[in-house]
Amino acid sequence: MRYVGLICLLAGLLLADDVSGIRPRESSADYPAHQKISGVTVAAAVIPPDQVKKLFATDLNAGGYIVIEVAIYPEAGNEIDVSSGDFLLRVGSNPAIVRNASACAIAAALQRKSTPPEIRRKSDISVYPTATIGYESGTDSYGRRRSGVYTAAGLGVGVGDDPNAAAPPRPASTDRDRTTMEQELADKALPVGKTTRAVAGYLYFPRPTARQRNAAYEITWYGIGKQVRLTIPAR
Amino acid sequence: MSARIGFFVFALAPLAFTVGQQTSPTKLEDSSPPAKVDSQSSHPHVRLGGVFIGSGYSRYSGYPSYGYYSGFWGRRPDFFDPFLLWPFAPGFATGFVYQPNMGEVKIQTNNKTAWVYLDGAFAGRADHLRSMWLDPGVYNFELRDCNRRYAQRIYVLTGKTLKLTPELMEQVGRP
Repeated sequence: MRYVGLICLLAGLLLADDVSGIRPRESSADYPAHQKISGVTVAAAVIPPDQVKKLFATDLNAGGYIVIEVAIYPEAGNEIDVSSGDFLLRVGSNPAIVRNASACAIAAALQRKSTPPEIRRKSDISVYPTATIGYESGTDSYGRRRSGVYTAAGLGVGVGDDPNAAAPPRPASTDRDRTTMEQELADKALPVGKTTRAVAGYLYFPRPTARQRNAAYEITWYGIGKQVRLTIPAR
Repeated sequence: MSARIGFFVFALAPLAFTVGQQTSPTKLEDSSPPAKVDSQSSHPHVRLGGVFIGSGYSRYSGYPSYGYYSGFWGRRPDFFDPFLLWPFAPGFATGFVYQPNMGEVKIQTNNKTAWVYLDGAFAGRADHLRSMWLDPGVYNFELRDCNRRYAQRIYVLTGKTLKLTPELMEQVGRP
């Protein structure tokens, strides 16, 4: 029992050292949109696609996701329960409201998108020309030693699929890639749970199908009973 | 449609053994020296050595192909890595060479003499590791030079290139 307790303690310490989320900016005013209500300040910024490309190994732009950095600054002694499901997004005048997607769902969708179709066909042709150069030495019928260079050439042609030749995987298409993408998105996502200190992280929203140029983003948080509505300019 | 051309380098044939046909001995009645004619060898002779040079052309439709280099220790994870228990990063023995199921990490830094560590294991010197190929996964990338260090969690994906521009930071205190 003593060891079980020790293991639980170690596991607790490891979980306490969670690396989820990102470092919040110095103050909420550093974000383009922020609002303070009853003991907490919520701030948000849209990450432009070119920044997303630099910040993430996962190709969120190709997957059609909007990345929004959200920070929550509780006032001293105030505990806030953060949940990513409390955030909703609306883009421009589009009436559609979208929820953020989980890291697991995004990783699975991106992997499925990258998985290659059957690429080898029975009409595939392989040609293998060969050349041989060698040196020979021996004795001919008259007892004289003869030596010299010999050459040979050949050509092999194969038609059909080679079952032994494994096709190279497409970028970010393997199961390990899915796990890695999931971990990256989860690590950088807004940490969930109760907190008394400032936390920040990214939320990933599916991009609405109807596109609008320079449309403002409106993010709503339903965290503490009241609504916090932030309008973030696109640029 | 895609095409692939590969060249085998030198496959050394250590011993090519050829035995000529043993014909029945014939006695020459004429004692005059034989004329210079090429004749089939009637005695066994041995071909030693030789170099095999080959090239391959492969054409198949679909995704572009890559070359394959298994590295010195063969294709992972089907091999026993003697460095497993050593403080060297996986891939250290093979020089972080390219494989089709790997991702590339490019390090662009001015600190050429800094040491690179992956998950706390030694990987090499920064100027020798401008480009390294790693299995897909999450790594703790670290650059150390005297008391300065840079640490970052990196995510490597198959077929993707991750560019790192680390800047060494002064270490406040020793751990």
